Amino acid sequence: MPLNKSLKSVLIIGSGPIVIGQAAEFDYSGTQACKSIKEEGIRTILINSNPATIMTDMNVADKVYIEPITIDTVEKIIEKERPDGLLAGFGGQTALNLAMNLKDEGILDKYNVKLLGVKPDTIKKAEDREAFKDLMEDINEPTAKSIISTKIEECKEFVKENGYPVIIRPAYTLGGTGGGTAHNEEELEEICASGFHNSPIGQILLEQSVAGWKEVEFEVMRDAKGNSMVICSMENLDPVGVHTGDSVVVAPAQTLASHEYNMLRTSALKILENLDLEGGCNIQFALDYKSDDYIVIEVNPRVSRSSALASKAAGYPIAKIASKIAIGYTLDELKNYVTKTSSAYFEPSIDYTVIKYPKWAFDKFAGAARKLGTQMKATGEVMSIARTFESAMMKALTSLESKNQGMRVEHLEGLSNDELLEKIEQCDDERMMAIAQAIRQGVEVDKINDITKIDKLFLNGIKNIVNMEEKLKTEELNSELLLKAKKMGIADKDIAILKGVETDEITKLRKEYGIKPVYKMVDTCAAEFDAHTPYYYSSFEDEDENEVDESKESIIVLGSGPIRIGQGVEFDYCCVHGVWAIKEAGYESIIINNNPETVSTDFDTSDKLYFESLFIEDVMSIIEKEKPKGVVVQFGGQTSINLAEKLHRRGINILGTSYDSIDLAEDREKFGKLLSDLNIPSPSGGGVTNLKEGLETANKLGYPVIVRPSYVIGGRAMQVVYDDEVLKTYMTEAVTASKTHPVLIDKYVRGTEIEVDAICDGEDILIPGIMEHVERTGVHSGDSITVYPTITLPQDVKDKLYEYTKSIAVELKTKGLINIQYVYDGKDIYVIEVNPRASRTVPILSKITGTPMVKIAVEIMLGKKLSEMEYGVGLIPPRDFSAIKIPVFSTEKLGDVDVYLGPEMKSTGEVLGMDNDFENAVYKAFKATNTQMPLSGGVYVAIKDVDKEEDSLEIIKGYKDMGFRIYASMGTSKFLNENGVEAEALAPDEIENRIANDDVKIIINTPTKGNDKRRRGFKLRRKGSEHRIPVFTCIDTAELFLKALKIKASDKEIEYRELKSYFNK
Amino acid sequence: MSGIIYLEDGTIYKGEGFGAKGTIVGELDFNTSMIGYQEVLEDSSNAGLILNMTYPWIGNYGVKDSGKKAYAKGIIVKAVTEEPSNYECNKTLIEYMKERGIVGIKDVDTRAITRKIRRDNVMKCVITNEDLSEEELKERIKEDIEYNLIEECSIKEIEKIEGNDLNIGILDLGQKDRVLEVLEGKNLGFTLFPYNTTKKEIDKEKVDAIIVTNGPGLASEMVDTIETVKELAKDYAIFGISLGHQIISIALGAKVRKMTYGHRGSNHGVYDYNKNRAFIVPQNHGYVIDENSLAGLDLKVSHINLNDSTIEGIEHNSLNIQSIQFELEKESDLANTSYILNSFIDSIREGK
Repeated sequence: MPLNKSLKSVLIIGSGPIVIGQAAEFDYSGTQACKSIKEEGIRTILINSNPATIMTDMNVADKVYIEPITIDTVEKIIEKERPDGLLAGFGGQTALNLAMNLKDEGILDKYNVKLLGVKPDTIKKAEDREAFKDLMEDINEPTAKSIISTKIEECKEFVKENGYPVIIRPAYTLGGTGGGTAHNEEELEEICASGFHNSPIGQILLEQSVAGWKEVEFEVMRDAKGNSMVICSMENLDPVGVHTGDSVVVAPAQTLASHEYNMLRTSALKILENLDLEGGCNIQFALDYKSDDYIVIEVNPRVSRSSALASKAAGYPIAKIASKIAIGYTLDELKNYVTKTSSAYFEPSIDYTVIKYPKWAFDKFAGAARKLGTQMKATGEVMSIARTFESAMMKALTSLESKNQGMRVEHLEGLSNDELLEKIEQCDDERMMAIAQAIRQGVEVDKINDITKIDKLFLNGIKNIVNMEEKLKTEELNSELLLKAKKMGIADKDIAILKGVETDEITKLRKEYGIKPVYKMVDTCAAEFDAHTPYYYSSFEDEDENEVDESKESIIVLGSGPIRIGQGVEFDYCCVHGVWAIKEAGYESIIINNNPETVSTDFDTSDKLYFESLFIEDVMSIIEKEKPKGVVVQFGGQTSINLAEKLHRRGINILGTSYDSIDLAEDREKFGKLLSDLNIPSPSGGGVTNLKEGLETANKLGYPVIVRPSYVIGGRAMQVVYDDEVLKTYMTEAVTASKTHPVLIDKYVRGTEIEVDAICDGEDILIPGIMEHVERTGVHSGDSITVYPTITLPQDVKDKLYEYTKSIAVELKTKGLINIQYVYDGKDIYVIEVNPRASRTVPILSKITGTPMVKIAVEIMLGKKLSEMEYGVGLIPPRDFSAIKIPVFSTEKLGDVDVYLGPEMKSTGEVLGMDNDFENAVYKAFKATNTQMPLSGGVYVAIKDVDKEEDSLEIIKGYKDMGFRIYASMGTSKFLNENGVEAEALAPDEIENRIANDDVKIIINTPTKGNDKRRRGFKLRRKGSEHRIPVFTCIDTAELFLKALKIKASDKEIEYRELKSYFNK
Repeated sequence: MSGIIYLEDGTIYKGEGFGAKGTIVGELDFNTSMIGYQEVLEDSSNAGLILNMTYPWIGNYGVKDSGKKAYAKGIIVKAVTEEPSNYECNKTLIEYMKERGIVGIKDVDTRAITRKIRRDNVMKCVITNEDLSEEELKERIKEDIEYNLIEECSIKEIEKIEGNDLNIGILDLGQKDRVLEVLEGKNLGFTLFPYNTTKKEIDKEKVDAIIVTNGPGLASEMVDTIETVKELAKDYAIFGISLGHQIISIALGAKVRKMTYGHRGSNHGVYDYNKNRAFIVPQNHGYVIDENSLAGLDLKVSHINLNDSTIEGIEHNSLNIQSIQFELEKESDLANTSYILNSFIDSIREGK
């Protein structure tokens, strides 16, 4: 069936801000969908509140609405745009749920909008636990014994019959929020309660646990003719019990015998047929390891994190093909766009092993429980491609950019076998390393298999790696052994550590032996026929398939690796735009990256894609092969900038700002001197290498001070310290200061933080816009609400900001992007941080000012001057609208993380609100975060002493005036009552009741000390966040929120507009 | 154990040996199945071949040995699992190979070998894990490969399987078992004929129709069988599978040609003109019916391959004769190509 010609326009719903369980994969799939539908001549309309994405660029869809993804907003957009069809299968659970709501409320019928690809009935059957179970029963597919429940009594009854352990899954939630496994009555009560609460319909699935069974996933596709097939099978190393998002996953499935594979394949395709699904779908199975018994765990009738992985693993563009199917095409009519030659109806054949390894943010969430279970905790992932399991595993570990040495972690080395086994049984993020260590200490593979149920095939793979380490340690490193080690994926650096020599020595020896990687193509067909896919991975084998076109100069862009806190999709945005600009400038663009969720690793983004780690050895091997004109390090965040020095030392041409300048900006001493030469103030402070120096410096500066280790991403381990005692704890427990890694102590300057992103050609600069933080200093810029244009700064301050920025950028000989953070205390402007690279705010600023910042930066790197370009120089005057960025946190997913805002970044994503009216923009932004916006009820206030001042009184009074009842802690109530704001004091026990009774609707709590689980404030904030009550830990945020509430209360007509309309004048 | 692959054009790949110790001369081909190595070895259409497995990790779930014969003579892999893991596994692949005399070579660039075969076509090679010198291998490759594989795979005598519905003749070119497996449980009666049975002998058995099976070897070289099928076509409804499909096509006047790249896996999409949809089917062939040779014949194309548009099935315009290039599938809960053979049998029943 060819294209459905009746479709003239299609609305696509994005997934909104990045949260744990819904990350960059939906930018990847949504971008593919927009492009693939647009190229058919169909008008595409996109709604997504996430401004850091590629898909919200003005050129991806015909109309882009950066607006809240809520039912009323979307209805208004439908009313205005009158699309013929709605595509809901590309924006994760968010889009699917919204589509169901639109259907149920009759909005789709009212405006005659057809749901494309996935039908309402299909969504219902796949998503509604009961309907799904009924369907499975009808078609004879087994599911776990379970009940759907809304009452704890029913759950207890079920357990009485079927026994523990049982799994609790709330209905309609992302990444299993609020679920878990219960082993006893106490856990059952607790988890069920959380499940009822987290489910938007107050419903959970309670099921018999099949923990320990193999967890196998199938990515399948089907079209309207009924053509169906498997794209990729995947097997979780971690058996059932660990969320698949937290599991190490291998593709294709490895331990299934032929008949088991065929049994599950048939089941998957049968389910697909009975769901009558047209598009892509993910089906999860649990397979017993001691029989052919299996159960269907779950079906996702849409593209997902797994489909992004499968697409990259198999070289098959699932989202693109699924969107073509949604608009009428069938698989037999389509070509595989990756190979260009083969049919889209062809089950990919893989001739390598793929491993996906999750990336967790436990380095940021120091207090969080690291135990893995049914609640997903990973923020991102890496994927590796190799010809053997061992090599794939080692490559994945290298790609994670952790401090580990291959499979060795220093702090596990001192543990006894029993301690290791206990850790393994606990199943935390380090379990694979603990397994390796246990094997190293002689624990039998059988024993580990017994405890973990991880298949022996994989455990033996780990054992092979451990054995190789031992060989490397003890045997002579001849060419044969070295080649074997390289084939196993062991990095030169790790070999050097095992041998006790310098890495360079190993690299030199390796090259003497003539051992270097070749590059193999990902072609979907295992070389069965000729394909032209510019998609490569390294292997230590004979034949190199990667032909370097020497007639064309190439440029390599280094990617940003896995998504983590502080380094999110915004850097992928920069890399992708960098690649596009390089292509446009007539060079061959090459990208190196290892994140399967991203647009940058899509097959048609760059001219050539290397799916490799961003470790110096792997990057150098590619450079040696490609001999590029230069390498771009300024787009991939800290990951790529950290490679600058190593590349520079090896004589590699870094395009744009040179290594010397990067070093100058990051070296405190040298940079401090530069600032004082330029007569630009910065908070006084210095680096210290031990506690004694630390106390001296802090006391000299006077408390409060800001402390942090040098060279970190996203303010890791950064803290505002008010006294000696806390400083002592910090210096002894939180960080280890040393000569090479000093701890930095700065005076804390209270004031307004300002974010300036500029582009510099070495002489002139262009500042597209200045943004201001709502929260006062002390809150990490990634966690602050940011406003464009500035709201409190007088013109002379802005002029000065321009001058400062220009002199710093020029003095640093910046060629490309630079980000400077300032603080203005009402009198002086201080520089607090300079990043000679793309920053988190580049995507937003590019979009809201219509300035292609990355493209300009690339042109400058290639020799152009700003004065020769059309974008102008200087500070661009502010536009006549406001844009508010609000961070979004995933704290509901991480049960024991403090939600308070501090210098350490915690947010995972962001939304943008835009409007010509500032207050409306604020309202839209809060709405987009999905924060509850109550208009009556109780506000609980507990603020620290420094906040007990006039400003705070005004804000609390504002809530009171809106009709909220004010509750407060003992100390705060005294302050409020004494100052004429009537507040009811609540005893500590009482507050919990009021939260539980739904009496307290908002919490304003500014903590004296965060992250301490023993403190009352911590528990209060957790409680609030678990009940999805807005919790504000900074008084400035509460003030802004009040503005949003007032708009909501006013019934003012809000207009939702496409991005372009703000620029058409 | 060292392992060497020596191709007839002089190309050498060095790796390690495993499996049975030995030296084997044979045709080198590749297989793209990601799973099912045991079935590949036991597939009679792979008889006498040395198979380069494109999937790099072989032997993971071991072998469930049910005593079936293995037809392939050697395999080449990237890595082989010594300690497999699956509850049904009763021996390792290595043990299985040793028992059946299958020679293995591992730790070579199997992808490079696949690409070589794809470029230069299937070729003769010798593999050894016996420490032979290059000179010795150069000599060994001159040995003839025994091409009369069909004799080894086909039954020797006419056999009968009683049933209470029809009497279907099966001309066994090697894979009668697959046909019987697919039609199992239908209570059909069968008469099985060795590949070299004459029409006269077949006539004696009063069969209602004839199925020509798949098997090893080259269709164009099986002149006698082609002649027999030509005769049979006058009197019988005929169904052909893979090699059988090519024999029938030649018998009806078509020609086969060597393909640039053969179809060697279970993942190709085949379009079915009768159903107006496509199916993913397993197949294993390096020759195909030449579309140009159909001009003027009473044949029409019923199936094509979606990747390269080659012919995957034909039907006679007036006679009840049809054949498919891909392998038979068993009926399942899913709609699949099993309907083709089923409706052929229905048509026989109706015609009676």
